[in-house]
Amino acid sequence: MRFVIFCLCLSVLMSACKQKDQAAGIDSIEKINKDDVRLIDRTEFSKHARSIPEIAFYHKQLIKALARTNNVLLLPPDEIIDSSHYAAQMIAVADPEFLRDTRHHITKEPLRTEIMTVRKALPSDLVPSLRSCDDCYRVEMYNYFYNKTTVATVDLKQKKLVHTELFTGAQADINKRLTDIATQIAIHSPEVALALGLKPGEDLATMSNVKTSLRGTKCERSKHLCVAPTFVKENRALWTIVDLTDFTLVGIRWTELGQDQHQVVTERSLQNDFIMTNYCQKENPFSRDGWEGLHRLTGSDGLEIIDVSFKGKKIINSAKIVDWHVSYSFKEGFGYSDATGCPMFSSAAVIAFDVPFIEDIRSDSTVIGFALVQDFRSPVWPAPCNYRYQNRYEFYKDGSFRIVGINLGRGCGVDGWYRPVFRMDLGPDDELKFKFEQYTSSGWARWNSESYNLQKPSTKYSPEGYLYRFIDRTGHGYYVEPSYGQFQDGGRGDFAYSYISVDHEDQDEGAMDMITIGACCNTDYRQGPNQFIEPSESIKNQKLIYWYVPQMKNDNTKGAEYAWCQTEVIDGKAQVKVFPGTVGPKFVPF
Amino acid sequence: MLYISRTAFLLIVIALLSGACTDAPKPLPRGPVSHCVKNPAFLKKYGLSPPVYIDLRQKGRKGLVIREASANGKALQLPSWDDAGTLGVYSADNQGHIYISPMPFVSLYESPLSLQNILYRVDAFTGKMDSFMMIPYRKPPSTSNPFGVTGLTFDCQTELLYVSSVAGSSADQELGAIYAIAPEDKTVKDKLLQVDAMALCVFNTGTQKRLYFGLARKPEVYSIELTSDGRYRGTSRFEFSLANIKGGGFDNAQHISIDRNHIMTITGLEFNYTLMAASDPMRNIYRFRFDPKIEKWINIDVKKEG
Repeated sequence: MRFVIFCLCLSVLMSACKQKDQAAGIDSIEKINKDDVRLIDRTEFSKHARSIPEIAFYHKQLIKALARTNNVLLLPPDEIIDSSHYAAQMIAVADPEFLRDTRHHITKEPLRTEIMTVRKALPSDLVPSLRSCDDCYRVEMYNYFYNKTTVATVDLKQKKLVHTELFTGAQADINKRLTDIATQIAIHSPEVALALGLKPGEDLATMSNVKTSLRGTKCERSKHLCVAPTFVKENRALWTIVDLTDFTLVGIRWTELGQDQHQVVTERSLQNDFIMTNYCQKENPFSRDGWEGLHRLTGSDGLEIIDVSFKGKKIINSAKIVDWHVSYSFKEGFGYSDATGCPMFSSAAVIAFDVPFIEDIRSDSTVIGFALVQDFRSPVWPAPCNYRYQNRYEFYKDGSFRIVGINLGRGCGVDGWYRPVFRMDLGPDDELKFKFEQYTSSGWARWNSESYNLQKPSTKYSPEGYLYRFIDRTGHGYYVEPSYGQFQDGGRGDFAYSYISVDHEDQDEGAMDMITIGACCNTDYRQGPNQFIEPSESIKNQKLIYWYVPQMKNDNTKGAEYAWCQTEVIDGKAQVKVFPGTVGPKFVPF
Repeated sequence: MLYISRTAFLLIVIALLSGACTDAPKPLPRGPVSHCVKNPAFLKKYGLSPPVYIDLRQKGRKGLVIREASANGKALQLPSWDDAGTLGVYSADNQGHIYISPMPFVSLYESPLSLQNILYRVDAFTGKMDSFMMIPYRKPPSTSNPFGVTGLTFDCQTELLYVSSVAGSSADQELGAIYAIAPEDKTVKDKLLQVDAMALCVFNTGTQKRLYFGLARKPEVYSIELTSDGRYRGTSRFEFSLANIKGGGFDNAQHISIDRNHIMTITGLEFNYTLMAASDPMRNIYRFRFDPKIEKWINIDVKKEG
């Protein structure tokens, strides 16, 4: 018996010595419930926030400060501990070195800057040469425009500033005035009240089981000053990300207490979590004005619309923009093939920061339809070589529709050519297969095989302004109206390559998410769709795919900007002004 | 004849086996383990003078470029160095070979998915870059996660190459691993599974040899003990979160180095399993010093770069 046990032990030990696959034991994947994360419409909330008394008062103080020669917003009197602290602040804001970045480096416009902290300097605050200073004060100033913090050391004995340090991209701890505002923004949010289960008229003070605290966070994408008032209820914490540059709420996020003590919620993580949980590779319905359909955020083909019908009739099987090719004239072969898509787990470089939205389309004051819009940005747009694009799908009450691509700059230079690659699969899929015709000087001419055509400045359009048409056996279909500058959206014309290819159901020719299909810098028809028309096949009685590659050149000429953006100073903070470059064909039923 | 009871014999066997198995810790001199890494011999052949650096920025030239560090220094790119498309991480070994891996940049047009989990080696003597080995994976890189190898480091003491790969991981599944590979015969000596890691670095703390690694999904750095022959022992240990450091951010540790003064430098950069923007991304450079009394890394500072 003993020998058996010995053998067993030996066997166990021998096997323990063999190499084994070892799991790291790190739980990195957090399951997020759909209701645990929410993004807030910042623009809407900003309007609402102006009625909060603390913000209204702050705004008045800020406007006054910006109008002064010395435009720094000082600590309010109730946050000044004593006359020494006051003296330290005043010495700092009188020093040109400390004030160096309080005005725009080119335009000299006043920038929003604010004293966040004045306190007695700790030994660890002081540079070695000042270690013996026993009457030194630390003054911290945050610059909202440049997103940087200036730290001054003031020696009260000498009554002068003795050291200045700049921290780019760093944010100082906020003062009490801003702490109060952050809390007010959070508790004035209907989403926060709903999440905490507050009843109408009830406020947090009545909820003894909710503990509040202010945690640190980051708004990495907007580069705004953000903090996170956090509300702990039972075993969960509700993070509210408050943007103190724009006085708005970014979003809210529940986390489990104790499960992950290292967790930090930031603007980026909150946006990614919300979009991934609710929109990525998920179909969401839209319905309005007789139109119905689904949209989904793809991995690299932007926002795709699928199964779209008008008054019950199938109109679009799928439409999307699969690539944005960007080339620069100043250097042969220099450019990028950008893909747009989900902010995580995708092959996109220009990603969704926010959710798709619907807006009215008006003609004068009359609503004539609606647009479904999705925005995509490079992480640090509008910095050079970062891009911002939009998918825009316009649906009109008369049954017409337009597939639009918008380029909001900024790119690597002003010699940029942008060529988005549209893929459109028009319905219905039944026996009414389309024929494709092009308007010529002798009327409508039918295409019999796969081919392409370039819209040129000299191109002739039908009297109504159409260039192509899809026509079914019953004589109905859609005219295609490319932009030649007539849409009153600032567009300067598409100058587009149009391709018709046969949809081979047994091959994946773009129905699934497409990886980049073309090189960045070809200036001719070789934009990617050419691979589906070479060698050319007959299109008779075939299901057709319409590829459309418009071309736009950016322009930064003052007063004539196009597909461009620039940063301006508005109320002392940075605001990006965009000059959209808009392209895309309109489809008109007949 | 010495008599040993069965029980005593059993205990001796257990002791011997457990000793052999657990590889009782030996005192290790504190410090990094990259002292043996040397410059490739081919640099001289092509007229490059040290110090040189490896340029994987993919600006102007795709693939690998080696540049002299001096002002107006020469740049070298051999014909095979762009065969694998854009490249991401590298590590050199004790003979001057450079291990390097593809990594997609702005688009997949010039970075085929099929190459993304292959480890390449630039021969120290000829300079030719060739496929060295395919790193194991449970699922291959795909359009929803186009990444493969994301971290490399060479341990001079064990002569093992540690390779992290996130191939096949998805939002719902963490399928990455860190492999300990013997370059001489391309065998996997050990593997740490179910972890998507990026930067890797080995350091002897004075009492233990540890592999430090930055997570791909979280702004956190973990470590795991290594045996004297470079295998994993015990469980992973949380070291610190970059997001919790004042001035830090929701960054992933994409490069870790530890110098002879025991200063750890981490390059923190956003990583979302998506492709990168064309511009210079903003990086946070985190520095830590090792406190041997508490065996912990203490943050010194964080600086912006880019």
